[in-house]
Amino acid sequence: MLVGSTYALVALGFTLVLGTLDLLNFAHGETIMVSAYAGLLMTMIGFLPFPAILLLTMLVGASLGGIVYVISFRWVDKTVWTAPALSTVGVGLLLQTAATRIWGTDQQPVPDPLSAIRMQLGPLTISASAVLIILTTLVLMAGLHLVLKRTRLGGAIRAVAESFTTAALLGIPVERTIALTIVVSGLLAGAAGVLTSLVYHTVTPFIGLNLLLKGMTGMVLGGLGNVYGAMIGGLFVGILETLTVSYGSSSYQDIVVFATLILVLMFRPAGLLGTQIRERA
Amino acid sequence: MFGPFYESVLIGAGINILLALGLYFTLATGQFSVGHGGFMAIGAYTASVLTVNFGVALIPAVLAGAIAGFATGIVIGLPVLRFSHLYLAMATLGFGEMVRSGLSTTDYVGGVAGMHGMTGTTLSLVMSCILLAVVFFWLHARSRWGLACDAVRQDEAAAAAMGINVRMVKVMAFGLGAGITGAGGALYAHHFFFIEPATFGFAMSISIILFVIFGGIQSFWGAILGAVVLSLLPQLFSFLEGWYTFVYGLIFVVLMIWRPQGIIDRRALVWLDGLARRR
Amino acid sequence: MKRRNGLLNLAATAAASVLFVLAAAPTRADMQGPEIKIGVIYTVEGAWGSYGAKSFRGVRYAADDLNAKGGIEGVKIKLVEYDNHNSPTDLPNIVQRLATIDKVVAIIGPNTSGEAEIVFPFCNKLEIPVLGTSVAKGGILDHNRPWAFRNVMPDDKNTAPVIAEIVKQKNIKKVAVIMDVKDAISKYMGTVFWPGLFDKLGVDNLTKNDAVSFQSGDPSVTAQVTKIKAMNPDAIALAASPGDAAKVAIEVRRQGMNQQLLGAGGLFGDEFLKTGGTAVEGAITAAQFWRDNPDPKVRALVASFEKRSGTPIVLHEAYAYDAVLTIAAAAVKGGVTNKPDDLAKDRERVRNALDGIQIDGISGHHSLDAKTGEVDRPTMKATITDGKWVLVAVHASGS
Repeated sequence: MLVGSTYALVALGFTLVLGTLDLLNFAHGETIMVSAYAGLLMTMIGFLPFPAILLLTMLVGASLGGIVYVISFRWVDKTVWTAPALSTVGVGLLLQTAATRIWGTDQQPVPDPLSAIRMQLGPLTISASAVLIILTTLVLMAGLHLVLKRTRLGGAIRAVAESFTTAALLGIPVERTIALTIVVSGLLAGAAGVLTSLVYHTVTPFIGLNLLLKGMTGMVLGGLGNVYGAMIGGLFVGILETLTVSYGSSSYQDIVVFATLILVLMFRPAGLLGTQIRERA
Repeated sequence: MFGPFYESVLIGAGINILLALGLYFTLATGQFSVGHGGFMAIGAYTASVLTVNFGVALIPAVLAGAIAGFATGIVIGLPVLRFSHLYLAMATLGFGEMVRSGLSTTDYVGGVAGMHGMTGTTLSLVMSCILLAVVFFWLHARSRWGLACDAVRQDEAAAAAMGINVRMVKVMAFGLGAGITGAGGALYAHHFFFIEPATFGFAMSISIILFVIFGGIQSFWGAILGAVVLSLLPQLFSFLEGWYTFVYGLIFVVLMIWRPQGIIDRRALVWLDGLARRR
Repeated sequence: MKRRNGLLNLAATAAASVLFVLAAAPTRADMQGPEIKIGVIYTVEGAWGSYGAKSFRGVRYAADDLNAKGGIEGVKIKLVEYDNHNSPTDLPNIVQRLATIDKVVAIIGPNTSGEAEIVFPFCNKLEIPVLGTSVAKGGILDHNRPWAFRNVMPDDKNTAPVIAEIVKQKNIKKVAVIMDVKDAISKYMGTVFWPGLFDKLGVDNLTKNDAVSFQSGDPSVTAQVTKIKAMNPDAIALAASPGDAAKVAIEVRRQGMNQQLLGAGGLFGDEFLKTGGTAVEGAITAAQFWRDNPDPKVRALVASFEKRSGTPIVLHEAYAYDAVLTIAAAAVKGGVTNKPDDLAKDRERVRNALDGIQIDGISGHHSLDAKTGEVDRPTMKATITDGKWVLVAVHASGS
């Protein structure tokens, strides 16, 4: 459940960019990783309360999103359609190497701000941090939903997702909307960074790829381009993993998840909640 | 002929050329595969099992690796050919990771501990394979089949309207590309003495993509150029020490900004052709 | 102040006496200068990059220390270093380069088993001696003799005596094993070593043919630990790399479980301690490196090392340091001439000298087995007490 909600967040950010721009942001995982380190640093400083850390880390993620936008999208000739995606691969590598240089390759422990508090919920003992993680995820998902449905930015994003040309004709500043989409995705990545490091209890520069793959699977399950689907898909992947581990063996965990990815793509590419991706000409 | 060091470098570059050519063929029909490490793994493990466990000679083993790659390519190619670019990229990514995971849990091939004991790749063997592949590509580019591939890459609907069997073209491209990559994998295993599933993961798929993209996706010479240049990079840049991967990522980023179509593009090809004619 | 000077003097004396012994080795012609080349292969990139950085530091300090006293019989050591940036593809080229272009007499490294699986056979083929440091995979030397050696004991040899003692001492009757299936060594420990050992010791292994498993990089091990909780063992055996093992420990304590945590030699070190924090208090592993070894020769070398590095010395630094000492000693013992024409012969001389060689290094007294190339080191039991590792000898070297 915990794991699933972090995957859901990862999937959300990833889907947003994919749905709007047809861009596979391979740097998403590394954005999350760097944000996690940023969050860890802030926690070490000591006097910041958790919500502040969360917000600041989200800003870190957002700035990284901005960098990705400029380097991999703005400056890149998009007629070669593979170019932006490959550029994000490069950015991801840069972030990973930089993180290794700065923080070393050992696993860094992440202190749990609320480790002492536990609550009884029937037969289950739940730690306060677990509740915090799930609550935060829900709040963010709700927040994203509101932004998409109720704000002008959200409307712009949805219009651009439909078609660049139509949106432009409607007077929507397409380029700026694209930039903001990637930045919002970065905000979500930042949050995901903090929350995953709490769930994992440790952080290394190498968590990016794994998160990306799981998020991608969640996104596919839920329906490419559909943000609500991504949320559900992410949760599903988390549950699937836990079930495989509990009843089978951890060795098969990856295989089960990837097989699901491929099978869904093959037989129900629209995913559970379905939205077809339109190809850009 | 060459000193052993240069020979080793050339073998490494040669293997990379084969891998790049394999991916190129799939790319040539517009199918972007992010999981070619998986085909490489299948070729590598097939050949290794044959030579180590069954005492088969190297050349037939490499051939078997190529065939295994080809077969897998067809099997994967069939269902995914109707996918659009994005779906295909994700499906092939999933495929590559699944192969890696699957091999990790298969104890017969050593699981995560890998397989050792393979030996025998020589420069002449690698060069022969490359020669075969180049001859094939050269002929292919000038054949009806080659034109069909081009047409499919440009615009599938139009190609179908002209009577081209788009399905066959794409599946064959997948299969043959996977087969060549499989051969590369087999040669890799027998040069490095040791393979483990982790070798063939996302990082390997990405580096093969970079060979092709760097050199130029418009022609198979691009794949060859990219593989050669990037294979020599570590030796030339050994002074970078801990910053090598950083520079590698930087190459990706800069290349996409400055020249996303690769070094050898249409104009360069025309220019080279002109040069050749003048001689 | 005075005591530190005293230790330094002792260090100088120790190093000097080692060199005196080296220099006074009997017969044959003196080594030809101006320098003798030793190849080094490590990487500072990738998941084990920190270990690589430490290994580089170890070899550099050792070469500097020996050179400060004039080198090997007056010939300076030159380290020819290469970093394979966490990729196996460049290893064959690096080995070839070291062997045929740089013309080194021996190679030190690598420090991970995956890389060693490639480097060792190449060295064997090229007939150049190679000494791996921190390479812990079982069986890796079997198919790479006679040119490959390593100076750490594989986990199983290191750990068995320690666990045997603990089982008796703490009256452990039931145990559960949890392993990382993504890491080759951990998987081996979880499926072969631990079950085999517990079988031999007569301990009831509750996870007998089916160790509880997870994968390195998994976000959480809650489900796995819950499974173990239900089994109610007396102890939990960890088969994972230090960082992941620490994560398991954290989860175990988080669920309020108090079992004794057991680990193999691979867990000993800073990472397990730091990452685990309070959760790993009381955990017991095997160890083969004892920084606080009271042997005066060790004390001296450690003191001089730490004065320069500014931090307590760690495993990888120590093993790498000693690798240089070992090659140097082998060069002397084998009568290396260092003449360019003699390169192939010199490599053979070093290789032959490494068989059965005894070293008094920064990691204590150890020797390399003539038949297997494995190192023989004293085994120690390491317990985390009050947030620090405390070591106690279990068996002397050789028994």
